Amino acid sequence: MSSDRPQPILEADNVYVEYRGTPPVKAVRGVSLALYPGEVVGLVGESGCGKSTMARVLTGLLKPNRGEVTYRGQPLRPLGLGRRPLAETGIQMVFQDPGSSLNPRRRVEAQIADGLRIAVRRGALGLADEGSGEHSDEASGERSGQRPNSGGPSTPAEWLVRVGMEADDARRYPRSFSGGQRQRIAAARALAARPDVLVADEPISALDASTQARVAYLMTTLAARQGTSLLFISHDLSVVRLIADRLVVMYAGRVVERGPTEQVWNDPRHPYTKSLLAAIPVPDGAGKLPAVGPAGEIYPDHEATR
Amino acid sequence: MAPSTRSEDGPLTAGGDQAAPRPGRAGHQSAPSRQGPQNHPNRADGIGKRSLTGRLWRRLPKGIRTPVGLIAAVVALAWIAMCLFGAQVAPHDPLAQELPRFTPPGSTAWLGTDELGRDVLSRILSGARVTIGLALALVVMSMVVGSLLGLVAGYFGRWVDETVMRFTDLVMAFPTVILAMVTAAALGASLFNAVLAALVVSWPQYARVVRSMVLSLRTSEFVASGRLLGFSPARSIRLDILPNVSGPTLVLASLDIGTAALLLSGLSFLGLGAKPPTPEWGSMVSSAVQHFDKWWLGVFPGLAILTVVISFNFLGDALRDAFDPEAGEA
Repeated sequence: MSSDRPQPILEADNVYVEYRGTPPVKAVRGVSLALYPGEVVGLVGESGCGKSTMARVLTGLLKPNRGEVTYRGQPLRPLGLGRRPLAETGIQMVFQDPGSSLNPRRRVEAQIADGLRIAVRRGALGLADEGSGEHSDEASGERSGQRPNSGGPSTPAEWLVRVGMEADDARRYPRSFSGGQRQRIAAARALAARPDVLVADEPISALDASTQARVAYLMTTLAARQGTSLLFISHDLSVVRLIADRLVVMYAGRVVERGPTEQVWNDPRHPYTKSLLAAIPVPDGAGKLPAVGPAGEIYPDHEATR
Repeated sequence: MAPSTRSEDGPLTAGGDQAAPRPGRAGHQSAPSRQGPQNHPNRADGIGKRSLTGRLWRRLPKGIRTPVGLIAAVVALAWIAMCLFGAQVAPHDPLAQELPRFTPPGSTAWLGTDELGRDVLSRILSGARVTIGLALALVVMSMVVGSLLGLVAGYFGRWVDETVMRFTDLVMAFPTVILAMVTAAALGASLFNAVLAALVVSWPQYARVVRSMVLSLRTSEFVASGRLLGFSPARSIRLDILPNVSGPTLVLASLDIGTAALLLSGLSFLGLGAKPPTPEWGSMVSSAVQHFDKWWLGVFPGLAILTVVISFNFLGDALRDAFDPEAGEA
């Protein structure tokens, strides 16, 4: 990979994860991944290829069997039973299932306030404000200027407006929102913590097509605005391509291809990436099924792995 | 099968088929052609009836359930009111031996008098406080104890879980009443000890239910995101876990009130609970056994126990349906 960039903010080094069972499931087999400040990395691959496992490892929710995760140069301690170290709350996550990503028994405002609270305690609210002030009008269609003197939303209601919802929604419970709205709220909650890194684990896969693109764009824009690095995990290359600077393609627990988005999109080298690209339906009205290899096709270890 | 999936079409095609010749029918429907002509009319009728009665059947509990819940709630509330004001409402002093002994139910004493000339109605009304009050206290205590242990076991897992759950299994391995009797006998016969003994046998079910709910909640995404946002275990349990287990647990508790009243009455009946002068329903039934021909001595306290058990059970059912609308369909 290009090494002209500064220190990676979050880095996984040769991570192995194995789930117990008979036989044990080798979910992740030696994945290394680096996330640099402010970039958007798309992690793509089919279901069961280890993407979500990687997400949980990178956030510290899951302890890898082998390998280490480094956050800001410090080893990330997997989350145990105790409270998460305050510094590590700079890594946040948005989950896949809109039905369970929010606590059904708490008001939306209280849940977003959790994010704000931790940002204040970490002292990140002030820092990020300066950052977003510098390049303020990056995001188009943004309802900015709610509070000109503070660089970002500082109340749950402001966050809701920021993610395209009504300020009045703050008093309501998650059940009164649609899947797309809940994912917006979940994103607001995670981003309100002013993280350095946001890991989004298939945040749009449960949404319908038009909502998918909007939520994906929203998350990217908001992350960029705060200078948050985004690891966007999806099985849908057509959406990820639009938002990611870099792509990492996983297959059967390994990284089979990585590179700048355009390069991977235009010139895929690994056969799996090729079939992944070929699987994207073309809206030409012909109604053709995408040409793909037989399901369960095994690709041999490829030299593009590293 | 095609007819069962399209119930509206079933009777229509069946009527046509009976007149139609067999070969055409066999050609029309491919797979079940052999059994088709024999069974089809019957099956169509059965389906037609079943769908109609089925629809009625499904509708019946729904229509009935709410009134039952209503009646149960009224009865349960009435008994709770008797807990508070029973002694004031009672026509006589429940302990005073002022009426003729063994008076049958009548104008002197509506529900008769017992072997010491005490008014049965007054004793039942003032006994509500003892029986139901203690049952409520017992349920609250076992809910608190059981839920706490279940929360801790489910949330922290590993050896904490193992320890708590093996202890739970140990208690549950014994028959409830026997274990309560043994405990009450060991502690000595008193109402307080009877409640303690009942507590020993009734907390494990709460621990089990709460633990299983916590186990599934603990892996849910909002709990994970709470932890990622720096929630301490205490905060995570208080905000993310507890509110999501409280509903079903309260329903379980309301279902348990009747059982608790029965268990406490049972212990008193066996002489392990209330001491003789105390107007407790179980002990009233117990003393009535010696005067079997004076039916009113046992029947009325027994009816009191019965109505409490049933009304709180129905109330629990109604509560459960209120919490979970989908569960009402079965």
